[in-house]
Amino acid sequence: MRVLVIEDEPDLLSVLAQSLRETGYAVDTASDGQDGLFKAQGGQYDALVLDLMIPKIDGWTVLKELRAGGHCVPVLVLTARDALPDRVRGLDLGADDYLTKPFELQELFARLRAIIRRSAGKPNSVVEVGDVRIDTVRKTVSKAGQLVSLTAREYALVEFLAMHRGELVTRSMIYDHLFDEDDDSLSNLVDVHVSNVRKKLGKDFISTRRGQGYLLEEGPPDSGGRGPDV
Amino acid sequence: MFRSIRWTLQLWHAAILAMALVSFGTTLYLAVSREQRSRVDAELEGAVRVLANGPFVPPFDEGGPGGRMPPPWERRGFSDANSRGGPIPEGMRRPGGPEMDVQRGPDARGPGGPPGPPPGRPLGRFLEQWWAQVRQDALRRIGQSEQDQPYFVVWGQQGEVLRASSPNLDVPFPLGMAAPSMGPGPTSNPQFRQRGIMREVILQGPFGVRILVGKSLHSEEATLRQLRWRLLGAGAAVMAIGLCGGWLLSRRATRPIQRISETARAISGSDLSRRIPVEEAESELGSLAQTLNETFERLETAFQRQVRFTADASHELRTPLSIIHSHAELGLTKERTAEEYRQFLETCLRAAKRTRSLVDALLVLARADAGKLQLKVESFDLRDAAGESLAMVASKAQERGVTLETDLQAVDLEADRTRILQLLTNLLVNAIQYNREGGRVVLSIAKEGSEAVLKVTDTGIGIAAEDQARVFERFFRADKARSREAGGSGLGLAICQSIVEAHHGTISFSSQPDSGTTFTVRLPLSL
Repeated sequence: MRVLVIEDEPDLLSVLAQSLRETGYAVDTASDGQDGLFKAQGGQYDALVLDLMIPKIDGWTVLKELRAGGHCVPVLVLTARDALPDRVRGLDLGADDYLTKPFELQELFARLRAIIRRSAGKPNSVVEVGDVRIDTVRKTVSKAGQLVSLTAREYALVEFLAMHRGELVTRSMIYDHLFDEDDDSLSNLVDVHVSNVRKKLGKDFISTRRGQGYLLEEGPPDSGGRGPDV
Repeated sequence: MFRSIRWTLQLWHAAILAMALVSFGTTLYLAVSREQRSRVDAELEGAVRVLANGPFVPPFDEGGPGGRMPPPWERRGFSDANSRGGPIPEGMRRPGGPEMDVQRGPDARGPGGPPGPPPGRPLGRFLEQWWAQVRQDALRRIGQSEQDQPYFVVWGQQGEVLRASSPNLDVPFPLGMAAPSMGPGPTSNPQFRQRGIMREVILQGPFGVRILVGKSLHSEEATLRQLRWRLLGAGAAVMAIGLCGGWLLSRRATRPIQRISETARAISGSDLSRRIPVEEAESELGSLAQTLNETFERLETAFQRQVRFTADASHELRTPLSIIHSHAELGLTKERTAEEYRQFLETCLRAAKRTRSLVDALLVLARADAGKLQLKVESFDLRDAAGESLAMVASKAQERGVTLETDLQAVDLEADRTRILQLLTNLLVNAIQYNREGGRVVLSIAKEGSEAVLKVTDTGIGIAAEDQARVFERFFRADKARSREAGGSGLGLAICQSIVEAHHGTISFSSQPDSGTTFTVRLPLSL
């Protein structure tokens, strides 16, 4: 999952980026509205964390421009202004959720996960593909009830594919969503991760469309996108 | 309830109305009764003067004391009496009447009695006729109503009754009058006296006689009684009408007050945006409503400013707080290297410092707002203070490539040195921050009259015309595009203004967008 954080406080930006990275997100940062809007319009982000009081272009304008340009990336608004009109305005302009400073990092992560799931049309935090179970809260994957140990990148790949289940996912899409802009990894690293995941979760877990990309097959109707206990 | 304006108005109204009615009624009553009294007195006096010309004192004997007294008819012709007495012939044809000259018979002849005209003689007859005439004349003047029988008594020198209108009269002799004169004419002004319901006049007649004419005031009293009742009735009616009118009037007058107070109550509650409807802008209440509305306007503005200030303050405080919070939280998620911990703590410390300076600034402003910015006034050279604050900002200026220039005169100032340092530093930092790379900042200090004049000029971006009115506003940053690392909290100039005002000075600025700004502070040399 790749996230763009737009925040003008350098100290706050750094802590947000670091904590999100440690949680397994690929994180890009922008310290003003102009840069943020540019990156958001060009990048393949799974979510945006946006401070409203930012220089050059304020957060509301960034939101408006983004939505006007047809981008439907989920946006979590972050601000110190908690007056009702401010909140309403942000949500009306297309924000998906709202968090007031100061905030708990745990809450930020939870809200971020929630808006990403919602935008992917998978409102449940647990995804089951065949006998593979992906818990997006605990960031764990289990196969036939047994926990499978994955690296952060591998987990991110599984989660990304699960969120786009039944869709063809190109190698560059995976690359864009798994690696942030500072990452110089080669794109064939994606293939390495895919093959590692196959080793751990079964050869058929990820199908390959030669020359196009990868696909997580739509599972049996009773398991896709349903709760773990059903 | 009785303390309400309406009741007060009503009570005053009633009191004034009652006073007016009472004084009007009393004046009218007194005037009428006085007029009646003087009419009665005039009647009585007319009657007594007629009687004084009567033939009841005939000292015909020439040897009487005082020499010969001409009888009245010699001094004053019969025709005289006739002309003054009205239709005498008619009166002459009716001698007698209800009164009788009882005293005339035995008393006239009695020993020591006054020498009346001897009856039976032709002259006596004539005198009798004349007397009857005079009587008629006198009584007619008084007015003869059947119940208010007028009466008269004539006393001689020794107090003996010479004549009386009826024999049973019980009229006390007027004691205490001046000694009777023996002259031929009426010798004194008539004297009036009140005897019960009777009004009497006494005249000293010729030859020492005393003549009294009296009448009862029954009919006059009745008239006055009637007048009293009528006045009371009319007064009560006017009072009732007046009170009703006053009640309605006071209701009309107080209704707008009620409306105003209702609106004002609603306003003081929660919604400051409500206003009193001003219908009659010209009336006193209209202008009161307008005044109140203006006050509410100011209150609302001040309140909104306060709300915005609080929101801004909390916004400014929340950012460093979230930095501290997030770093602490992140640091605790897992074991980290010492280097990482050190970094987190440094960031936290930075944020804490920022919070502290913000809280300090807010405190200064809050104290200034409450008028409790305490100044530790001391005497010092402003030039030294300027040097100190220049040293404080030197590194910052260097960092931004701004040259500091000075033009300093020695100025002895009585002020709070710490605050003045803060003022200078804030202005200098401001000038450095809003300057361009390689720009200049000029600090000049001079003495003009009884003022120290302090100028900070920069060659920076200037202040846009639309922002100039808001420069001293709290949390206002002229350049919103500037990221927070460059701009301060937006409280610096607001604090400068508070400090200058606490020193009874003035702060102003002139700015040319894109070519620079000059802040000018004028401080009195001594507080």
